[in-house]
Amino acid sequence: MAGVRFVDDPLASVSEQFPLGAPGFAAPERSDAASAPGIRPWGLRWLTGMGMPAAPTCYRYCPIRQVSVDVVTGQPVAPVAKVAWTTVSQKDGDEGPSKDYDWEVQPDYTG
Amino acid sequence: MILVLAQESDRTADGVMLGLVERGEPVVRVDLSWFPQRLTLDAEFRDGAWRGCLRTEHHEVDLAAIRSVWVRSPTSFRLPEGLTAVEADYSRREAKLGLGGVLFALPGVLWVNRPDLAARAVYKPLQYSVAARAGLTVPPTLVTNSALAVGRFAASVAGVVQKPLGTNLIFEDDQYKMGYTHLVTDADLADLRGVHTTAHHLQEWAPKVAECRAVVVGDDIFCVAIHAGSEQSYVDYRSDFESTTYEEIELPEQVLKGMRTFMAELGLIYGAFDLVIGAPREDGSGENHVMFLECNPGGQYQFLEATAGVGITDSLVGLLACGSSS
Repeated sequence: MAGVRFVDDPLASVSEQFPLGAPGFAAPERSDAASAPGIRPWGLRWLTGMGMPAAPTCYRYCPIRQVSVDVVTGQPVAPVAKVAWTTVSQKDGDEGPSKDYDWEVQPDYTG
Repeated sequence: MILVLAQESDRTADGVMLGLVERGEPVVRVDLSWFPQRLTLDAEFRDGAWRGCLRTEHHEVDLAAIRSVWVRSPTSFRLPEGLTAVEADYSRREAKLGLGGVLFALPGVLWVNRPDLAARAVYKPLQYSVAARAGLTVPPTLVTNSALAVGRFAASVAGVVQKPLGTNLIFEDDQYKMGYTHLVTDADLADLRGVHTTAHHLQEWAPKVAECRAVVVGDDIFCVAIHAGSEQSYVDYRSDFESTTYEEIELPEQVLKGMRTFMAELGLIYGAFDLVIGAPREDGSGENHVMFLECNPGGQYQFLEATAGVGITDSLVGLLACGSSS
């Protein structure tokens, strides 16, 4: 029964002993709408929509070289000077401003 | 052998991989989502020690040869299709206790960072206590689910910000949403519905001349000032990256010492500190006083290399190559 005791422990779960994140470009299986004011946590009032991350198209992971490589040349892609994500002011269509994930696609891990 | 635990699409991890390969260091990169379908664990415990390997289609890690593990941002186990929810829960738990347990048991390994210690360190209230003991200044802070307490705290300080204690990214309405630090207004305080729903984290607003991200890699500390270029980024630089500018700076020795003490107490090898360099208050105090906001044991750093030219990747490469001294 090792581990069972801690699986749902609210303060020290097994998860926290070996934390794992969600895949970078995957959307969670479930997406709810926000709950009504009064029950929704006060701290969630000031969220900024980030849209959905898009998987990169110009490079892919190479399991042999163990780094991202250019899809055309197969060579490792050089680091680029970008910050956490790039703002695209307007895309074609009427979806309005959006943010595209690039470079450091994951926000800081905070548990 | 160096083991890098990182997801496939992580170009920050790519930089460290390329650095290690350039140095001729044996390194294998694994994402834990590969387990159990694309990653095989074969470990036997005999005569008091674990022996065996981790194997992918193209690479193999001799468990006994591992001297460093960089826990960058591995993603969760991806189980075969067709399992029931109960079977999937069972399988996920067994995977974590089995694979994680074998890795934890390896002797003489330098973990950057040890996952259990990193997980403990994400508790911000714990961080504040440790930081204060280490001689760092922490703004007055409230954690509560009481609306009355929020009102009392807000009345006791010149300004107050609200920010999450944990991750600031959620998935809702079929999109990701980010919660930045929010400067609380009178209108916000007039409607405190929802405070009771869970713990809320408020802190005295610290007027600043700049923010600073200081990244600790073993004995090295890289300090980069982040200058806001907009009203938005003045409250939280992450909310408007494009307006920010960066420069490498030196912090006072007592702050550096405090960060080292903090890291030692929490058992961290890598940490990204978010600090505030204070602006003068009305009474003239506080100018250039450095305040601790948080330390992120998995904090991002590549944007600091890209914008301020600090050599964090090289430092990480050197640290992982040296491995444990124990």
